Amino acid sequence: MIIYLDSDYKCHVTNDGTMLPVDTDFFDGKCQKFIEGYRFVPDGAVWVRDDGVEFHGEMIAPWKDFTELEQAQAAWEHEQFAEMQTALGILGVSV
Amino acid sequence: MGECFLYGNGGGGGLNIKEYAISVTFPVGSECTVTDGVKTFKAKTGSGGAWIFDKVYAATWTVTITKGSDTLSKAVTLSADHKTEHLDLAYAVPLFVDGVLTDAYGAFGMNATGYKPMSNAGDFNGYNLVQTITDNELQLKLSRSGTTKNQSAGIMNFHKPCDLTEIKTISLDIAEIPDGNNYVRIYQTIGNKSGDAIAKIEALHTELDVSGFTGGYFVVLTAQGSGKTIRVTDWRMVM
Repeated sequence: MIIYLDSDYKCHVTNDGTMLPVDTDFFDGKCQKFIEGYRFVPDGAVWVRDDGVEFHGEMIAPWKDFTELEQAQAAWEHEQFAEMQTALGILGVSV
Repeated sequence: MGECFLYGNGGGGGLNIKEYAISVTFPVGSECTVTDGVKTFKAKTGSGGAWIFDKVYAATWTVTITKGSDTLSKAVTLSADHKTEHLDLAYAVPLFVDGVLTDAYGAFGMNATGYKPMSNAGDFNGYNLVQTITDNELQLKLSRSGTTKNQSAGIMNFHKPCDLTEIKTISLDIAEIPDGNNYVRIYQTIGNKSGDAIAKIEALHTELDVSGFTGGYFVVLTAQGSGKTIRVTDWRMVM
């Protein structure tokens, strides 16, 4: 999937016109909130953390609390499942 | 009843009772200071890695240790209800340092069950991990053992999760850059697709930002290529 990186290498699912597109399968099946809690430092790039530590790409790591991202992903998957069940119900398919 | 620190004056002079105190242990040779922005106190040079700051008072204090380029700060708040605090400070938690492989996280191996298929990387059945420590190097070699599988890659990890709560960085040093796609990864569950954070090993020094994690996670090396050897010289979790 294509994601977009801002100048701090934070991930986005839409491009505001200034972002760098990156093709990756790391986020396949992940929801928007999960993806946008990550930082993706591409190959050849360097990101400097606020304490001065340098990280060289390729590196993919959460900048938000990972527990929060997991919860968002679980809620999204639950919602997707419910929507699928509803759609199957409309089609008369029992699950 | 609150805690207090007791100090002998020696020579029969009785005891001083200090209501507020911060005690700290830290790596020998470090400079250790506490400051509330108004007052700053410094541990005596050559204190041997332990000091009690007994002139502190109710306030929020920043305790900082420094040794060379290593530094670590922790905030401590003392109040009438919390008059003493003890800190054990270290710059890093060793995984493989100075030729010693930690046993804190269980034996090192392919994974807890020996082999594990990965959803996006074929099948690891038939691959062994040969682990040796020679000349202060942890040599990890993927070795194929008798089956005909076309995917040669392996997950090498400690058998118990590492607590990343206080950890900000996973740091890896290797003796030579291996060919192929090799990574330092964080897994909550071994065998999920990509891991929860990854850093590609493309230089002699690799760092992975893990400041977003709290709790237990597997710290993992993944290697691609049968017969691949990764020569680790230093592997640590940095606070």
